[in-house]
Amino acid sequence: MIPRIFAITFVLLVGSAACGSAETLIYTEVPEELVAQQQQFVQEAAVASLTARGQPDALQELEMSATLDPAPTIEASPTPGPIAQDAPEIPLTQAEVDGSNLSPALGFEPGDPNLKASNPASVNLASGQIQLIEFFAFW
Amino acid sequence: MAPIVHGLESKYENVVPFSFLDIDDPATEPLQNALGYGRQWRPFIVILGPDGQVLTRPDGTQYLWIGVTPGEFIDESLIELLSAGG
Repeated sequence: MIPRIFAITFVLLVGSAACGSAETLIYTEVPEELVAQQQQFVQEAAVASLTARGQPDALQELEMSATLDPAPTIEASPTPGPIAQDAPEIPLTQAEVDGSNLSPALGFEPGDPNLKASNPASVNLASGQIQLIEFFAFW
Repeated sequence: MAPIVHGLESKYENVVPFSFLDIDDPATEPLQNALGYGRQWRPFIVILGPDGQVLTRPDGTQYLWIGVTPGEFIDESLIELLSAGG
């Protein structure tokens, strides 16, 4: 039982060692010799243990699970990729309002000397005809 | 804010009288009060009927404009009123 635990623990350590380097985003390749030695050691330990117990089926299963694939080599750049310098510039939206259609030039501009107010005393609201009255300011 | 309907005055000369009242002239206050002008807006334009009341369209809206108003609106309204026999 102890050799089996040892074997499983060893496998977990190898696996965690491979995964542990993910934190740095840099994966290094485990030397094949070390992997081969680990596989051989695990298998020998398992064979010795299971043979002594007379469990050939378990031995075959263990041999399959103990086979380790070489750790894949993943190259990750720790620095961000280059920023595209030729990205098109997005032009700012500029709203243009054409007021010519909204306010035709019908009136006087402020300060126009020709601008004169009507005499309020001459205004009769009930004049007996239609009339237009505009209240305005010179300012 | 200068009057905006002076250009129409010549068009309706001798047909529709136009009056331009200075809101800062104290003499216009009785007229402002009579027409319900609270000096909140300018200009303030109304078309009055023979009885001195602001005319009303069939849909219930008044011939009254607050703020800068395109002259076409007022022109169309005057044409509408005169063609209706007002």
